Formats: sequence, structure tokens, C-alpha cells
Amino acid sequence: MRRHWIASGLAALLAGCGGGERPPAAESPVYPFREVSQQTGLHFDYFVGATGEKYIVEVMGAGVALLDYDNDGDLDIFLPQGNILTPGKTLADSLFPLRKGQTLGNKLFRNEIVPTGKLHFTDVTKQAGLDYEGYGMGAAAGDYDNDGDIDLYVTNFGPNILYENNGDGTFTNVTAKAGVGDPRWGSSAAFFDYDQDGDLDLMVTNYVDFTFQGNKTCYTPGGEVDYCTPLVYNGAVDKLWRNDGNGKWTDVSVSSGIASKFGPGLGLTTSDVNGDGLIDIYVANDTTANLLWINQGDGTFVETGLEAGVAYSEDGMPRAGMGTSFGDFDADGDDDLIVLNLRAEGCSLYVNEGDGFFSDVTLRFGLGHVTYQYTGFGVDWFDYDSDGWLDLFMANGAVTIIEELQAKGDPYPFAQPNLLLHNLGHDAQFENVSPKAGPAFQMAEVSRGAAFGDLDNDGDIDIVYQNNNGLTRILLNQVGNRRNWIMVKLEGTKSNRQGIGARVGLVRRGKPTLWRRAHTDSSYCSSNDPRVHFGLGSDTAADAIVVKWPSGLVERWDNPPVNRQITLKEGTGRPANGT
Amino acid sequence: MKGWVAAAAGLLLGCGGAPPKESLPPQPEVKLEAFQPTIRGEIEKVLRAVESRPEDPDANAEAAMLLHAHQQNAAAEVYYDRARILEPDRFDWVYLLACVQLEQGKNKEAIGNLRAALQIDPGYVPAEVKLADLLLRTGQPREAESLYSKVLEADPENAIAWYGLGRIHASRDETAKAAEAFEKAIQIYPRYGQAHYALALAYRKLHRRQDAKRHFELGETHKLDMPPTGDRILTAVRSKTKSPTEYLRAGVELEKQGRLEESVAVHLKVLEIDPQQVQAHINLMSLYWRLGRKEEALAHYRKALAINENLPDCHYDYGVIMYQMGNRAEAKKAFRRALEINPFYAKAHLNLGVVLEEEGDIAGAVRHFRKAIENQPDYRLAHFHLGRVLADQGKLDEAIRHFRQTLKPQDEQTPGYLFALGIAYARKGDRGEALRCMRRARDQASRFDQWQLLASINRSLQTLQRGRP
Repeated sequence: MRRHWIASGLAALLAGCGGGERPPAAESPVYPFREVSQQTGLHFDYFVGATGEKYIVEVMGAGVALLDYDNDGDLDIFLPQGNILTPGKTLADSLFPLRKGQTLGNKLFRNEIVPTGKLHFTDVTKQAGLDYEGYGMGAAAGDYDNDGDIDLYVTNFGPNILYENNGDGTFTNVTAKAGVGDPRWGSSAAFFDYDQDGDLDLMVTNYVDFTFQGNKTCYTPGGEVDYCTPLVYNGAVDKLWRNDGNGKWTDVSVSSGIASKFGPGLGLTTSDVNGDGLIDIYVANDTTANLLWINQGDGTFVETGLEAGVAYSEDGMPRAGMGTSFGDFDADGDDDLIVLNLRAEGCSLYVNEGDGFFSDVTLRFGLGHVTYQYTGFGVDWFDYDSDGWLDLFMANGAVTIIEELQAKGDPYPFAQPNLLLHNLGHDAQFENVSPKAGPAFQMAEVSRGAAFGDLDNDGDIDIVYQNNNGLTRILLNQVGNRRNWIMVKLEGTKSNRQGIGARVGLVRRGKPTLWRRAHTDSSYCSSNDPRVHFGLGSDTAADAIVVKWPSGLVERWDNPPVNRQITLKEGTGRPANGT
Repeated sequence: MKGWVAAAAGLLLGCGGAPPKESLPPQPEVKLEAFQPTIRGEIEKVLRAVESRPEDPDANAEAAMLLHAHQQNAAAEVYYDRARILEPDRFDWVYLLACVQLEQGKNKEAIGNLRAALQIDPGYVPAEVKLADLLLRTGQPREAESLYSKVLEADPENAIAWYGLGRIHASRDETAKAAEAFEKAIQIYPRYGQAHYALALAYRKLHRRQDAKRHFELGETHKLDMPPTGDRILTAVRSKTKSPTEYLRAGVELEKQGRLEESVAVHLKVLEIDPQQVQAHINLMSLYWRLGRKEEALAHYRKALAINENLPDCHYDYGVIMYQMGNRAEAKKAFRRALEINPFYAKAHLNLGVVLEEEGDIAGAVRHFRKAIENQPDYRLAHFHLGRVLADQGKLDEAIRHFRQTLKPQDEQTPGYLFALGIAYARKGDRGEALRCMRRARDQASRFDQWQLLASINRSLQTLQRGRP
């Protein structure tokens, strides 16, 4: 039997070599997450630029991108920054003047854990050439030119920017040449290969047609000026660019059909929802119907959100969709869907019926009640405790005044606590474990985008989230590697280099195969670790790993080592078509 | 000794009779500084009344209701609670306390108070339905089911309860039973958007795809329509609002229903409360124009701009009015101003294109039609105008591509668009496609009773058919 393991020695060293069962998380007094931003040198404070006009832009930013920009084997952090919005006004006019350590301009922080072994972040923005001062919203990371280093697309209120990674720790702004600098208000972006030609294409959701001059004034029921709902503006059309190679891109928004329906787009996630081998797209719109674009395989998409049951919540009403993500939370082999919405709406959880049709099971799984009070933005499926079931983290923060906070004199009354929801697996319920998840979950902040990835290479998934008008936080996972795990890094050869869009299966003895998608998209305005994490629960070994590559190739690797990061290169496994 | 103390304590406890009265929670602080003056004045008045009569349940309830009407829910909750403590047997205060808790997501407390309210008055159906809905939301479907069933025993025509019952069946995967309940709800209230949507999902599961499609469409058509709840108590609270935003919403709703005079009255009420409500001026401009009251329309245009000069909608509406009055120059200026403020404004691009075309600036017109489409790719009218101009320029392939974009959705506009497409095919020399389009246009025009268009189509068809070799 052929085996082609490229086990990462470094990861093994850092993670330790324990192969046996570890004590379950529940027995430990350690909190699942520890907030470590300050002690790891990550100081970033999002500047909203508010000068009293209550521009809708102020409350919407921003996201986080995790990317290994210097290819040293650890995840670095890119953070888009806000700015003064009102033309003619200066920093001195800001309602929230720059705080200590707060500076304008986007930031790139290099992770020093490789080679130092210590999780620490160093600001390398200037030397990387990413010191742009726009009004940043989000970012997507992906190796669009298949040259082995990760490029970066930044969405802004204003034209977006594509940076090509030069492979030497610097980036070049190639937006003009690439023609992907859409002037609309961009929110989430995703790199994925919709046409299966082996390179990453680019989708961007745009929000509304707000302009400074056209700012509208909205009021609370008490007549106080408040931030507007997006309904007072027109939704902006989303964009899809086809990567033609050689740095050329073609705007296929109209020819693909993507531009034929749109709303105030905020969230974006991709998956093959109907099992036809083609990547489909889901767009969460704020206050209008969400969109499910089914890939027809001929360069076009057909929108089926309504019929598929994912346009609205269970009561047939549009919600204020923000963050979203596909993930197989019920472990039945197809990707289900989470969408976070506005306070007094609750989130929407849709289970995939296996044929691209979905049922809203929010109430059945106990999520409606738990999330009802929160306005949710960043979200993703991740198995924080490595028990084999996908859990949820939700980054929350209101967008309109919370009366109780205002009554207490809070000058920015939008803060809400974040949520950690534990998937109870066969009990078909999510348990709100936030009260026992660590002090960070007792804080109320105005959280927005969240990105998920293994920052310290210890085999479990950590979280970085941005706070609007506040500090970026790192939640380091304390418990995930107490159970056995496998971290899979893909290397496409015929498929895109990062294997984005691949479905990765963990074949378990006597249990159904666990399927995960290799992705960087999802959440809100954010970009995630492309590696695929498997928690093994009580198992000490797995039978095999199967990869369904975007190229169509299906390969199998038997008896994968546990508690290791392994790299699977396309074309080196055993053919396994029919899996 | 110990036994004596215990006996005495028992005696003391036994003497009490009624349980000790709950103490009143202190009056909450309400920050009114930023409130609109009329609303602030009203709220201050009722709060002063509580201060002078703190143990008067009506004064407390009045404060609670006014705060509730303006969504000061945390404060309203405290005043309702005070009213409830002061007058424990009054259904309204317990019920409204539950309602305001529900609006804050305090589901557990709301359930408790709804139960308490229903003990006082078991016959108030809106409370029963609300409790059932809440129980369903919080994962207690069995009790919710029995409550819906109880409501339906007393009133089998309660569409909301049938809908709720259907949701419970659907959550248990009892799809056929769910469909039956939704059908019943729709039978009682045919424009019940939520029930149509739920029924469509149920039919989809039952593989009745065509029925599902029909009900998805009906759900879309009647999305915001639902049966009246009959909740006179909550309606009375809502009607206490002095919020200009709420009046504005009501005014827009009246306008949508074609009740223009009433809409004007409500908009004027908004301006009475807050003369700076610029949206009211913008809406009044368009309302007065539709009512043929030109001077008043223009007066509100000026007032709106005096408040804020940067209002793309205002400039756009003014441009439309000027265009309709034949003042092309002023219209063009207004559309341009709207686009300066919002360069993504598809409607302004389209109308500027129309004006430019009339002035003979065809290149300018095409540029703005394209911009309109770029910003709103599903904008049928923009595709139509661009197609028309391109056809005139002999660019028939591109024109046809744009005309084809106008064919969905199928509605009363479609016959005209089909006709235009047919003509473009005819000019291109594709007689077969031209005939197909025109015949479809003819059939649809006839279905929509568009006799004038039908006559034109028939004439073109005859010409085309005469040309047959």
C-alpha cells in the first residue's frame, strides 16, 4: 500500500507526540479559550472615523484575514483599518479620537511562532507594502497565481485592492492591471475555483449604494438620530471575476448570471451543496432575500435560494443576513448552513437535505432562543474541542442603539457578548457554553469579522476577531488538542495550489466519514486558515483520509498519523473514485 | 426552648394570611436628552405623573405604554412591573409586561407572565397565541401544540393558530399534517404570506414541485400580509406613538394603497412633530405632484433642499417632475446633481440617458444607459432603452441581447418588450425568430387586454407574414 505522507516535523514538534486518548476537556478547569492579543504583541484598534453624521459605514467594519504571507508555516494576520469619513474633516473632529497605540492604515502582523516557538506578532506592514490608508472592510487571501505564495484582496468602502505576493515578504498592488478594483462598497470576498480550471476566481459581495453626500438621516422611535437600516439605500450588485491566468481577470458578473439578482450583500460562503462536483455560492443579504447560486458547470449560475429554502427564515421573511458559513454539522456528508442575523431575529440554521434543498432547523436545534438577542457577524463551523462535531463561534455587536447601554451613558451603545455554541452531536442540540468558555466571553464588545485557524500550530482552531471601535482579540484554544486530531494541508497540482474547494473526508472505523471543505471564505469580511482540521473524539486512529479535489480527482491516503499536520499533494494518493 | 421558638415562628407565619406584597422596583432612569422635543415632552409628562402618584397603577401603566410605544423597552418593563404589583389582578399590565419582555428577548420571563396573564383572563386569544409561538420558539412544541389546539377548539377560523400548528408538525417532519394545517390557514386567510411560504416548503418535501412553486410565488406576492391578530391591547399601546418614523411608515403604506390624500395628512403630521424630517418633504413632493398640486410639490422640494442639499432622491424626483413638465434642461440638471451625490444611482442614469437622447446626444445616452445597467443589471427599462438605441444604430445583435434581458419576469410589460425584440429580429432578417416573438407578444398582449399594442403587433405580423415567399 502506497503512502505519501509529508508530515510537518515542525508541527509535530510543537504539538507534542501524544498518540493516545487525552483527558476530555470537561475534566479540566482550564477555560476553552484564552484571550492573548496584548501578550502576543497584537495591538490593533479599529478606527470608525465617526464625526457625528452616523454614516452607516461606521458600524459595519471590519474583518480579519489569516494568511501565511511569508510561507514560513504559520498564520499571519492582516487587519483592514477604518478612517475619517467626512470629507474635509480631520482626526481632530473624530468623536472617538485616536487612542494610545491606535494608528490609521491597514496592518499586517507577522507570526513569529515559526521559528521562535513563541506566539508573538510583529507589525510588518510597511516592509510588506500594505500600508494603505483607505476605509477597510474585509479581505480574502488566496494563491491566485499558483506560485506558492498567498496573495491578498482587500475590500473597502471605496475601490478594492488586489495585492500580489512577491514571494519575498512584500506585496505589489496589481489592481489596475487586474481590473478588479470595484468602486462599490465591498464587504466579503472569496477566492474559489468556480470553473474548475485550476486557478482561483474571485467573488465579492457589495453592500449598498451609500455615498457621503447621499447620507440619509434615520431616527430611533424616540426621534434620536441613529444608524440607518440598509433598506433606505439600494443594494449594490455583487461581482464575480474569472481568473484567466497571467494576471488577467474577466468580469463575468453579468454573463455568469451573478449580477441578475442582488441585495445589500454582507456574507459569502461556497460549497458544492448538491453534490454535482461544482462549487456553488451563497450570499447573505442584509434585509433582503439571501441568494443561493447553483453552478451550472458552463460558466453560469442559477439562483435557487427561494426554492432551496435558504432565502428566508422559517417564517418566510427576509432577515438581516450578515456572517455565514457552510459546514457539515450533522455529519451526514453534505454541507449545512448557518447565517447570522439582527437582534430580535435570531440566527438561521439550515440543514441540507442532500439534494441542494434545505430545511430551517434553527428552532429544533435550540439556536433561535440563544441567539435572539444578538446581532451576529463573524461565524464559522469549527470543532473547538476536537470531539468530531462542528461547533460555532459567533461574533456579536449591534448596529443600532441598545437602549439599556445608552441609559448607562455608553457613548457607543452597541456592545454585546460573543457566543460559543457546542454541538452535542447525536442529541441534535447546541449548548451555549459561553458562560464557561473563558473571561473573553463575559466581555461585551462590538464584534464584527472573525477568522478561524491554528495560530500556534498546536492542532486546534483559534479565533481572531475584530471589534468595531475597539481592539482586535485573539482567542487561543486551550482544549482542542487534548483530544486527538489531524490537520490537513492540501497541495493542489492540477487543482488550485491550495486545494481550496476540495472536500476532505476522514474515514473512521465503524463511524460515518467526516467531511470538511477546504476553504478560506465564510464568516464576515474575513479569510480563514485553508488547512482542514479533524477532531478524532475518542478515536486514537483513523482509517484513511479521502480528498475530492476540485479537479475531479479523488484520492485516498490510508492510516494517517494522528496529532500531526500532514500535507497531501494532489496525485500522490491512491485513486479512490466512487468514494 | 427550641420547640417554643419554632412554634412561635409558625404562629407568626400563619397569621399573615395573604403573601407579603412585592416591593415596587425603583423608577428607572430614562435618558431623554436626544429625543425629539414633542416626544420628550410627552414622556416627561407621564413620568412626572408617576412621581406625583408613585402608587397609582394607571399612572405607572401610562408611563410604561408611552415608553413601550417608543421602544424604550427596558424602562417600560419596569413601569409595567410596578403597575402589575400595584394592581395584580389587572390582565392588561401583566400581558403588556410579557409583551415588552418578549421584545427584549427575555423569553423565560415573558412565558411566566403570559401564563400569569392567562390565569387572570383565560379567554384572551392573542395572549394564548403569543404564548404558543414563544413556547415553540423556545423548544417546547408539545405545550405549544396543546395551546394552538385549544385556540382552534374555541375558534376553528383562527388562521394564525393553524399556521402555528403547521409549524409544529413541520418541525417533527410530519409533512403531510403540516401541509394540511397550512392549507387550512390559507383557506381562512388567502393572503397569508408566511403560510404560503411554509406550505411551499411542505409541498417541496412531498415532491409536489408545481404546487410548491405556486405557493412560493404567492408567498412572495403576499410576503408582508398576515391575518389581524385582534390584539386590541397591544394595538392601543402602538397607537400612542408620537414617533415621526412610525408616522412616516404609515404614510408610505397609505401611499402604496393609493390613499394619497390620507398619506398627505399623515406626512403633514410628521412635519408637525419634526419639521426637519426631510423624507417627509421628499414624499410630499411626489404625493402632491401625483395629486396635481404642482406648487405644493415644488414648495416641499425647496424645503427638503433647505434642510439638506445632498439628497439624491429629492433631485431625482424633481428631475422627473421637471421632465414631465417639459423642462428638459432643469430635469437634466437635477439628474446630474443626483448622480454627483450618488454615482451608482441607476434610475438617475437611465433618466439622464433619456433626456440626452431626446437632445440628440446619443453617445451620452448610451453611456448612461450602460451605467444604469452596470449598477442594476436586472433593470429592464434600461436594457430596453439601450436595446432600442442600439437597434437604431444598426447594432442589432447587441440590441437583441439587451431586449432579451427584458423578458423576465413575465408581467404586463412583457408583451411590449417581446414586440421590440421581434422587431429587432425582423430588422436583422431573422424572420422566424421575429414571427415567434411577435406571436408570443400578441398572445400576451391579448391576455393583458393591451388592445392598442395588440393592434400594432397585428399590423407588424401581417407585414411580416406578407413577406413570406
